[in-house]
Amino acid sequence: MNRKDFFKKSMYAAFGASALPAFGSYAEAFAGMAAPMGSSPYDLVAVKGGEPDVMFDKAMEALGGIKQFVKKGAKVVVKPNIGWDVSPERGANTNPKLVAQIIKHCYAAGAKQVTVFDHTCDDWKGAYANSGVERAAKDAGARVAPGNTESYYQKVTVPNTSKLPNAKIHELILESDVFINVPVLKNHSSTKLTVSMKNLMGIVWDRGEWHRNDLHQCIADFAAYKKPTLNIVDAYTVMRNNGPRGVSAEDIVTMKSLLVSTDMVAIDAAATKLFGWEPADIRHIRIAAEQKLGRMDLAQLNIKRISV
Amino acid sequence: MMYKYLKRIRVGVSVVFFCALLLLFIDISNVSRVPFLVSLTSLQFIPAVMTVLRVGAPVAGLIAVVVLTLLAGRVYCSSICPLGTLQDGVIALSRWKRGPRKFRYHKAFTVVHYAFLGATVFFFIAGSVMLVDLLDPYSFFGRIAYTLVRPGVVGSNNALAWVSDRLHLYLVYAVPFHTVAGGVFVVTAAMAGILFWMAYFHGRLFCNSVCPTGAVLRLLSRVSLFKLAFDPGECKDCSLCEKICKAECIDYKKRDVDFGRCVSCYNCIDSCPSIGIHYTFRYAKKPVAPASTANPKRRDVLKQSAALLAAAASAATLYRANAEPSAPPAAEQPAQPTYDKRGVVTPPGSRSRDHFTSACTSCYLCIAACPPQVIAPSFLDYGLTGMFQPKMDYSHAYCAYECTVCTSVCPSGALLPLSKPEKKEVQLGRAKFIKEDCIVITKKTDCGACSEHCPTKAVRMVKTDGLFLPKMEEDLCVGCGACEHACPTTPRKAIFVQASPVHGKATKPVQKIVEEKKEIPVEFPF
Repeated sequence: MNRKDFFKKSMYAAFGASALPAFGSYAEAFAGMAAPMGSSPYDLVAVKGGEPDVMFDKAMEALGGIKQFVKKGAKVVVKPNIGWDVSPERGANTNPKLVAQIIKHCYAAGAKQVTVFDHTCDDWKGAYANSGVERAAKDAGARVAPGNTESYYQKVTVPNTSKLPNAKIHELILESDVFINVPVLKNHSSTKLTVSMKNLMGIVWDRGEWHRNDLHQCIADFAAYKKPTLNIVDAYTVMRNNGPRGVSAEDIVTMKSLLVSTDMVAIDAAATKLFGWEPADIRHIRIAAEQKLGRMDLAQLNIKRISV
Repeated sequence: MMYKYLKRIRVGVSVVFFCALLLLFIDISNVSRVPFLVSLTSLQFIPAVMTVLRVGAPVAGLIAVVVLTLLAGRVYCSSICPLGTLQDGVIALSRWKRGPRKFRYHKAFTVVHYAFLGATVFFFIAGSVMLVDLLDPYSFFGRIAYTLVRPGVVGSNNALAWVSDRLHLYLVYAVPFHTVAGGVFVVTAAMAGILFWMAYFHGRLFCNSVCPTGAVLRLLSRVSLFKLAFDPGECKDCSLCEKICKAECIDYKKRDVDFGRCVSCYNCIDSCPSIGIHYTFRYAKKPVAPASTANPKRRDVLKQSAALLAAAASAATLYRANAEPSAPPAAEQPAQPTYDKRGVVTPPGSRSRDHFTSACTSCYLCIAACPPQVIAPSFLDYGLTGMFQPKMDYSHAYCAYECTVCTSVCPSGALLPLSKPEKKEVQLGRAKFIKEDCIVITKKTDCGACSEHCPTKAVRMVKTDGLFLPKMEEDLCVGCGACEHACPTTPRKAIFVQASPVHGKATKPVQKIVEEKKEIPVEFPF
């Protein structure tokens, strides 16, 4: 960067900064922005063509390592989708290999403790075991915690919402320093598609309340309240039909893809495109974008695309 | 001398059976549910009889028990029967609290005992297993373990879990306990109270005046090849044997053991300073012994009892033949399914409500073993005749699609084994959708919880007037209750499982064997 450029950029920055308050508070202005991740300039990293663990390694490499998000001594919660009592090849749950690799990276970055849990739909013990996630997580050194009883959940107020005044959230989420959201991309009978915002239903207790009160709006409301440190979308094995549980292996296609972003709206929008649909057709993504919880305009984002 | 070890062997065997069976009922982790331990239940007399009568399958365990009894008397009652060992525990407690017990010979309540047996047989032949369920010692034990002991285990576990959670260890997890109907608890606790009282003050009184298994074995033991009897030459006239006999069947003055009531605990042999009591061959050619072996009075009683039993059986058969043919089960679906016609859903492997309610002895082993805890005790859901029998309760859980645990543990043949592929096609009931109650209609909002949870997509979301509305394809439904469980409508569910009185066969979801479908993006679509 030469001196001229420097001045130019500084001027823009100064102008931009001074102009911002005119449109509202700084916080509001930045809230809608996907802050470029870590030390990288990227809003979103998309990887394709490799095994889940290899793709994750590549994504982290592009972002300057998970240490950008996980500081030494941090308490980390990794929240995969372990909702269903089915085997890994059925694609209903997050890929166990990916979960294990995330845990390993966290520990390598100096995390104090990594905990894995989900509030499952099927019987939790069956789902934890049959999904392969419990074994993989424990082998990688993580603690696997249950989410099956209400006593783990604490009531929180969800501010500025239209439909969801409060929610009961798993204490692990409230007490952790880092929250890594690891959904699996799937077709979904209730919300058409499930990605990162929908995956947050696995950290709350009374999901029936959401179903009773405009599900899409509740998902968007909650996304405004709880923002994960990092979202990692597993699109290695993707359930095309009959989601979220799936009926047979026939529902599955192999996409061998992985997305990483701190912006849930952006990553959900990208995942929707990957699935072959339009982000605006998924109502909670549209609402979240309208409420400026993140950015749906993928063309405007700085995306790092990696092929393995 | 081998007699020295008889009691020790008996105690060892009884402890193994007792602990193994207790563990099966109270182990909330289900780690102990290994085939060997489960196989021990096949030696339980009444469940084995049920399997023979209702399924027609010969049970090796039943033959073993009968042969054993014909050989050496009621060995079953002090070794294999868990309720017997439980009573021995109460007797030990009473000894400890009240000092060394002094039992005394007591005349038999023979008529009462055989009357209980007769009534049980009568009810059974007449079509009700109520008395069998109530009095079968194994099932009684199971209910005590499940309804009275297990809550304590769950409570302690959950207290530990609470501590572990407060310390953020997550080593122990809380276990839900929501499956005891109040009526079951009250009746079981009351019956257990009476049993304990009897055992505390009168030893094995239950076994010799109430228990139908005891009564059958009592009849068999009267013709056993070997029996315990006095050896007048060896007897030192010390009376120790009578004082320790918890069956109160030894009259040392008459040098008489009422072997029909003897539960083969061998305490008498153990207490005897000599070898005054030992097994003798019943049919040895001997001069006719005095009163002790051929008590005419007792023989009369025996005859009367046999006559009573025969009368009960024939009366029941007659009753049954003359009874109005029972109304055919409501197999036909009512035009407008309503809540009072939903019926009671019976667990997988039960084939039909009739088979299930006629074979189940309500031991609750399936309930204890069920991983998602969807099987629950009922009180009067099946009516008086099916009191206590388990049912599917979808209010807290639903049947796991690939799970077959309950079908593999049932000792009475009420739940017959199913393989995983078979189980996935069994239709316990059919889900009924009540459109008017559905959130999508009442609140004009997307929901889909039912379809989400359905393992076969028998309910799918179909676009109707701009919203996605559930649509049932009942042939695909397995009746697992996932939709009913997940449905968020209050106060009543908009989708529920209507029981199939005869389990149907669900259509298999269409499945083609396909090669791995690859859609790895060439370029990212963004």
